[in-house]
Amino acid sequence: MKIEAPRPMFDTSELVLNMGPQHPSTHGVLRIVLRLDGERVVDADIVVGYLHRGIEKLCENRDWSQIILLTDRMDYVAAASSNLGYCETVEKLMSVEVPRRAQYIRTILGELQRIASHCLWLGTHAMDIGAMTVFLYAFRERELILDLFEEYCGARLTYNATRIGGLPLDIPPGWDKKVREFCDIMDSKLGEYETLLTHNRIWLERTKGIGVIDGPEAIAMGLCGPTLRGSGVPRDVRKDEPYAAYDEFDFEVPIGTEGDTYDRYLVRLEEFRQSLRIIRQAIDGLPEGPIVGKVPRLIKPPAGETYHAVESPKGEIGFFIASDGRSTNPYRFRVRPPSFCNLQGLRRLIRGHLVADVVALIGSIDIVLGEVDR
Amino acid sequence: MGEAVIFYVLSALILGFAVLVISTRNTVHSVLFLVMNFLLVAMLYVMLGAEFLAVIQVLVYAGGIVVLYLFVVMLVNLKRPPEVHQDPYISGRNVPQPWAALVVEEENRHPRGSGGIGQAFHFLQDDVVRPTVPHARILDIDDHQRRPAGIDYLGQRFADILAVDVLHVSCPSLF
Amino acid sequence: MVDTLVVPLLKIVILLNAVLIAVTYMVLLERKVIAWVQSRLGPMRVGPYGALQPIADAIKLMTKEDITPTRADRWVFTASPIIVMVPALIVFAVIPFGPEVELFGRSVPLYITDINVGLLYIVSVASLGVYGIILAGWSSNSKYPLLSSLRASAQLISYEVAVTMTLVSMILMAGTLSMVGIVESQREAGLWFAFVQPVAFVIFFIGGLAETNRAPFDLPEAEQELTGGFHTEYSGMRFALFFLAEYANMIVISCLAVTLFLGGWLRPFPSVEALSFLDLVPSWIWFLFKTFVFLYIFLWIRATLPRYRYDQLMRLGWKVLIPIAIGNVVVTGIAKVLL
Repeated sequence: MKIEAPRPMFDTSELVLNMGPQHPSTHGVLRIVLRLDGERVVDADIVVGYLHRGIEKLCENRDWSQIILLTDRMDYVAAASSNLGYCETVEKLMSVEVPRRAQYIRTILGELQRIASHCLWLGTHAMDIGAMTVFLYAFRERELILDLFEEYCGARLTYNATRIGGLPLDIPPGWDKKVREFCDIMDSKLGEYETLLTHNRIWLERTKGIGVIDGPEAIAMGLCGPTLRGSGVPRDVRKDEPYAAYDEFDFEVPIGTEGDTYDRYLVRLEEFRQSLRIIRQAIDGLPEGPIVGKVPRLIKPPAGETYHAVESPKGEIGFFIASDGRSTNPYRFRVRPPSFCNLQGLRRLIRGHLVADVVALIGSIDIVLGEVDR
Repeated sequence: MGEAVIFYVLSALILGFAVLVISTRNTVHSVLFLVMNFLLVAMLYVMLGAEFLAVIQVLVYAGGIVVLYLFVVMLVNLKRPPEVHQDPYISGRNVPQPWAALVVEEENRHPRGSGGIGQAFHFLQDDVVRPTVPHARILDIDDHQRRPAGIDYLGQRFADILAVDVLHVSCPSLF
Repeated sequence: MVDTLVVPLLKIVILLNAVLIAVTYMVLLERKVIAWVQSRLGPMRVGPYGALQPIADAIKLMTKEDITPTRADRWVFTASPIIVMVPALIVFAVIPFGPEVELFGRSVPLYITDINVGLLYIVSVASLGVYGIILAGWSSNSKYPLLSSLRASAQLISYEVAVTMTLVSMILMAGTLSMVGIVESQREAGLWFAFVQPVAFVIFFIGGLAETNRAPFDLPEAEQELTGGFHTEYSGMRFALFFLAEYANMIVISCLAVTLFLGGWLRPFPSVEALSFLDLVPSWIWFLFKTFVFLYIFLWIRATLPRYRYDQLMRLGWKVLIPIAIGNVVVTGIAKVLL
């Protein structure tokens, strides 16, 4: 990018600014080395790995059922989605049939998790752009979901909420009613967020036309989830390759038109509503029955390998697992982390924008460093 | 009596700061002394009963023009190395650096570009970056090697700042 | 002797203390108001409803380690908080909190002094505050403060133009630069100037937000972008000085807005006889009440709006506010000549 011109009198070169790993807006320990021309980003190096714990390797040395709680620690703001993804992968490997009731509850958990994660995203994203009140409002609602999860499985962050072949627990009595109440509360609170942001002039100026990426390029970049859908690509694992009980519910996949930060914001806001819709349907039609399928006591999948993906709040989280059929742990374990894939696009997105847009864009692709670094 | 005392104290301070302006080595400090000087002169005006003049003195000179000076000085002042970490126990400062003169020569062989606002301040570069006193030369080259972050940034913002400040300075004159 | 020395000195001491206490409580007020907006409680631990929080904060800040970064310009680094703080305080010298009142059988004006160039004095002193910000960013010898101090100084300087333009139209209205004179002329007009000059009022308010680096123009100290801004490298009491100066500036802008546009110490509709029962409230209470309303709006805006971006801020200043302000001056001038 450096332009070789006749040397000007005030010899200018780019200012290298180190953003992170200790920076309030990098959502964890992300480090971005920005090269600035004034305040405009000429280029950026994105440095990851500060939170690397070797989870994938760790998983190769754990029992199949012990791995579930390691998946909690990847996307720690959407632990249930990772649990679900992993368990479904193993079930696919073992060809286990999961009872319908468990499928429904899994769907409810997955969608509650999506709302919780999106609440966190909305709060931090708005906070990055300076709207501090939205942050606390969104966390207020997230708290309700955490309460629901706590009542279901006892944990508030790392749920360990599914088991291979089903669920550890049935829902507690009265829980479904509380979930329904929560849906009503959430519906009204969404209006509050929208009042503060959607038509706010400053919000529009800060998000419209920022980090535009069109559909084909987004696909080429490997983006996924709401970040991809913001660019107008209707790719959603829940629709395209239905898992759990998603094929039994009516819902729509919102997509954007411009592919800018504002569209990604709108897409996620609409996903709140669609998730509520799914939860309501699932609660209404919750079937009776067992919550665990026929699973041997010692889990030892047959030799073979499989890839299975679910739609986590961040995007398509996929698990590639190889089993040698002999040992009680996976032979090879690999995660396709949506945050990591979305982070790949960040460099392309922030180039040419201002420093202030960098934080807006980090918020807009919604990453969790626990998942990026694993 | 009281007035005379105040007058002489003020005058002494004004002269003192004036001397500091031209004697201090750090240009930013020099500009700050200049501001002090202007403020004290404004006080002198107040003593003379010319409040309007005093206020205009502060507004135009101290508040407007010298801000411009400050930007210029921050622009050409290369004394602020932000990045090189120097071990305070191993100070290379006192060791004469034979290559320093070479860098000066290199600088001379590549005169900075011309035209625009930059040209207007060329003399400042000549004076500040390449002084003729030998020991000062070594110091400055030492500084030149460790280029500060701010200068680059300022260089690009300079036109903006200049435009802003010119308007700012000329604004009070609309009264 | 008493009138020329003791009374003014006493007033200065009282005012200075009052301002400093007001500033510290301003911090508490901000935390409380924003907490209420965000449906939480805010400080509750120190004293009843957190009323002693400012004292705890002050003790904390004073006992904190005062760090000067290595390779910072020590003198400038130390001086810049002071340079920021002093103009914010000495502006209060010409703010009229009330007219002359009878106090202990003596006629005492409720302002320290009324110089005939009062408004100009405020503008000129306030323009010195920008030094502290530039120098703080520069002397910290760190990149984030530098970026931020450049943002701040560019912002301050450009919004000062718009604000000064509105002041020009106010001077045209009042025909005087004296702060007391401006209030008096509003009494004579029987109307607050905010009703005559709504455009100038709005521009002054927006410019005031920008000049005090308040949301939505708080980008010089946007912690989400620049990790705190030009005072990133400051700690302890020196940091507190920046903090206090910001709040003092907010109070200054509010006082100025009240004096220029909302009739200073005058009651609402000073010419309407039917409302004369409002005169029972002392004039300085009116002044403080109006100032408080202004400060509340400052906080309210902070809790509501996102932040502008640097280029948008500049565009708003130069392409919108300044042309309108200049137009306003021209229109005011023409109206003044014709009427």
